[in-house]
Amino acid sequence: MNRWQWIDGRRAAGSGSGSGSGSGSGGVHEILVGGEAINASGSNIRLYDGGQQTSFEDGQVALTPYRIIWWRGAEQWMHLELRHVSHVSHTAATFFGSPKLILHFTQLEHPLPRAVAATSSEAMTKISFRNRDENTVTAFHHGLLAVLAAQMWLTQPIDLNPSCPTPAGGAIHAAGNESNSASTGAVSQAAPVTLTGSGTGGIRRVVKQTETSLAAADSSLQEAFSGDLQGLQSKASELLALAAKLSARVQDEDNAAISQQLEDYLLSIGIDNPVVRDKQRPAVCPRRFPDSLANRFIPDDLTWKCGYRSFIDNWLKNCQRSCPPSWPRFAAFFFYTPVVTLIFVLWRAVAAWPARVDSRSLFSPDHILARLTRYMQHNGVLAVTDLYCLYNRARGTELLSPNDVLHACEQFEPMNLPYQLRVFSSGVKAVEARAANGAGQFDHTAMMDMVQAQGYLTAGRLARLKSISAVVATELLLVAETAGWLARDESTEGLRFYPNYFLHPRTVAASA
Amino acid sequence: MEALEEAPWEYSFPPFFTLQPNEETRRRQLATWADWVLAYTKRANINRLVVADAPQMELFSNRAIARSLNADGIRSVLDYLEQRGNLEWIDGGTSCLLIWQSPARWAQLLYDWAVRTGNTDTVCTFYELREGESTESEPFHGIDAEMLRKAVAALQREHKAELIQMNDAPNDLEDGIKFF
Repeated sequence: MNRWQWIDGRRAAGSGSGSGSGSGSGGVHEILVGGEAINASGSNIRLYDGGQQTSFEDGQVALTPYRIIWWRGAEQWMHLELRHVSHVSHTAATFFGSPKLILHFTQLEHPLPRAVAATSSEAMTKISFRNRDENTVTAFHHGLLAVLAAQMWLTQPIDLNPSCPTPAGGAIHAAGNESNSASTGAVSQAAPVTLTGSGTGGIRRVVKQTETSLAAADSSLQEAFSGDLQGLQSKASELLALAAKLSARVQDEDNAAISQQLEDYLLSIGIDNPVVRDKQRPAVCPRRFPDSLANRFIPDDLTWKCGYRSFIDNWLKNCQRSCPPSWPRFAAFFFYTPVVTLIFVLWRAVAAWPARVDSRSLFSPDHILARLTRYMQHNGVLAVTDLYCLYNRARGTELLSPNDVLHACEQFEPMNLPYQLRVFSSGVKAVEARAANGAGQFDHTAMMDMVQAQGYLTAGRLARLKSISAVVATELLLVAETAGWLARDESTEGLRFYPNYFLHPRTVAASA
Repeated sequence: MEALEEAPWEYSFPPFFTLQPNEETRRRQLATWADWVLAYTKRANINRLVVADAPQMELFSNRAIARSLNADGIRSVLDYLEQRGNLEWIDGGTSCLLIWQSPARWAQLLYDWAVRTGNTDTVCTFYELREGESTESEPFHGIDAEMLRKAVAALQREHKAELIQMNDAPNDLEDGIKFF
């Protein structure tokens, strides 16, 4: 009953006609607004809320191009705007039941003002013609079908509540004669009593409103998300184009410093740049540079994933649109899904063939070594976790597992590569450059110079200065302390490390 | 404050106030601490140290660099001093005697004073020796009672003096010493 709305019946009541009897339309003409005309009418009408009988019985009903008006006596007037009706069906009279018209509602987005019931779980209403007069029902039904087809409310909208007064409109008539004020008093009471009586408290209304707005937010979010993915795809390719352009230009200008900077930057966002690399880095061991990796996969994979998913989604939606599914469609669904998937997988395999060849040597340290070499140029020590992240980030797909990376790192030393895995006392694992003598000790002289120059070092400061992770920096400081190079200073300001002047007194006693 | 003038350079070196985990470094650190504590207490003429008050002493904290040795550190330093024989725990470990000068040396100073001022064959009370006007310019003026007893015991062994006890229990004010 939340589509039925109370209307102001004062004008009809004021005309003095319209008692509940007879098939005439009575005072209903006073209700009509400009452009409305009565197409069909009936009497002895009972309304149903879904399948439930309501107390609105023995009323009259009138059909206009815009709405269905139901009224009983002079007091109770309500209407149902036809814009809320999606379609109508007809139930013929049975031995027990009177003929009914069933009006199915469209989705209601906002609660209607002055609704007979604020909420209702029913998506339809029934108009029961208790007179069992099939001619009236048929006429009404045909009229209804005609006005629903015409959809006048879309082409020539009119205001159905021209003077939308409060339900308690009796105050205006308070100065009228006794009988009138009595009848309008009944109206002003009837409406609110019914409202509260059908359980339409404020909280339920708020809940309903929240649900509606949530649903709206959800749908707009979905739209935004699908839009974002497309945006991301185009951005990724733009970014790559920009990177390629930049590196080409840098190469033209032959500026080593800028090119170095660019390369570092590109690496930090996970884009490999073969152009700069080939030119600037004959590097430590040129033959170990694999020419595979990220840039081929990043845009490609994005488009592939998005394209594939939306294709499958759309296709599934199309398959399931009719409910229940017809058998041929159902069978097609099960038949085509594996076929389509298979085609995509094959296509992927062909497209990614070079990567497959590449991945045969995936677990060799060579790949990791290539990436490592660049980071180690100025850093010296790299935590294995960081190596794992940097490496996989640059690859984009075809990711290595942490165990594989660790295993590869363990192979550095047996394979006589210039790096080795180092396990610190706390268990942190890092890769460090192996010194020429094979000792593999971190260069403490560099750190000591730094400490002397800075006065003291914290893990954070060392990490910044050497561009290493704070975890590794802490470990290095602890190692140097154990070796007696540094002395710690623990205070509220944190853990600092000073040169160990206890064991190695400073030669210049100036800073004291 | 003047005692601080003798502070070693380590006193301004922040790691000095953190116990070093490295064994060798810590040994060197504690040795420096021990020397510093004795130098300071000697200069300030302190014999007794209450452990609970130690963290507030400028000896263990340097306001200029906002560093102080924590309770563990102080305990380690004092234990180290005990190992070296420069410290003796008293009052059930809540305070300690700092022996930057041996009791025999104190005894010598006391006896020299008694001879010089003609106090031999007389009885001087502990109070007189520690707080009296006649000893104001002496190094043992204000000496800790516990240390004084050790010095008297040393004199007794040499038969140069005798402890005169007024009551059964030791009394730091009324007990006296008779120099021979």
